[in-house]
Amino acid sequence: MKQLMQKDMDELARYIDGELSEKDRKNFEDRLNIDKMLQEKFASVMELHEMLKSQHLLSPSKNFTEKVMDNLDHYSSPTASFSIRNGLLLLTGVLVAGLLALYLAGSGVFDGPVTIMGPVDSMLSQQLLQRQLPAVTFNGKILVNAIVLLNLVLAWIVLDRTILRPWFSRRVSHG
Amino acid sequence: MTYDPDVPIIDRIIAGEQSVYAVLVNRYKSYAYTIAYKIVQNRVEAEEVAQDAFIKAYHNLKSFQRESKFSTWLYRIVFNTAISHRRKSRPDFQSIETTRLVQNHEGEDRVERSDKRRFLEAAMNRLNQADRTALTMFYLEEFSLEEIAEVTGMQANTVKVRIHRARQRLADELKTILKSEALSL
Repeated sequence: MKQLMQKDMDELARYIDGELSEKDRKNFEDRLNIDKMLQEKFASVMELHEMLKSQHLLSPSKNFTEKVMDNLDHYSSPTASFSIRNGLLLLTGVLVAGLLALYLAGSGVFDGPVTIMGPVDSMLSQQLLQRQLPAVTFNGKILVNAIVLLNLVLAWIVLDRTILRPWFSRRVSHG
Repeated sequence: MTYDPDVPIIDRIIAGEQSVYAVLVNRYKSYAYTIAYKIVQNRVEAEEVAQDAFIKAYHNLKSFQRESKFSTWLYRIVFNTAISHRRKSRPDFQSIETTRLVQNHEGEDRVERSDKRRFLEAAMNRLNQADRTALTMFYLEEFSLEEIAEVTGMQANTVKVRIHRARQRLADELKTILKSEALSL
């Protein structure tokens, strides 16, 4: 059985919406007169088109505007509505990461200088890299301490936004 | 840029006349509610979503860039609020079988079999939210394709194609529903 192509369907849609040029419209109508499948499709899309056209706007409740106006001052921004549970989870994660870094730094893992890219020795690396990259040596302990410090700052921000501020604002609004 | 008749009202609200916002709410509540309803598919929830969107819009009025019409900006907020509401409240996916069951059940209990509008709604439920909203806005004849694109976050040149194809899918769905209804008579 012959199937209509997407191209035919797009043309049918443009015909219904009156977007075809005079010449294309005429050609399409000629085809429509002889093609049974296209006629069937046209009838079903046209029926739907009429149904959609007769759709009306829906009306909200009569006191819709009053409700909006009454609640204008009770708006909580998305940051304020951040749940305390999520805040606690995030805070725990940040603290665990910071403590882990502190433990590693304290146990001497980062005491010696760390080289992240030394002279490239392996055969594979020699083949892949045209030029040798410079070696970068740094003190791992300083880096870890900086990460720990950043974690503490982040933990403080999370604590403030998700627990302290909502808690204090609730106390103010209830007291 | 076209003249937006809402701009003087917006200026007054920003200047502190909060009560004037009721004019904008009254002007756009039906469209906002209709868009919300097309996405959340529940009248009570649609009303909540539309109200939330108006309140959000009020509090972000200063950030409204005025490059587009206020209504377009507002409908975009309604659309996004409805989408995130729907994501939180239930999964987006609805199988054809489920939709059919609901439709048949309602058909038997409450709705006359000849009510095509009901079937149209059932068929529309099977479209995705963006297509459903785009199609509704297109047929409300109040929106240009550019506005629909801005509200739904699609590219303007793809909106038309999506509307055409959504309409074809909808026609097929409707045909299937009507056929199954005819068989069950």
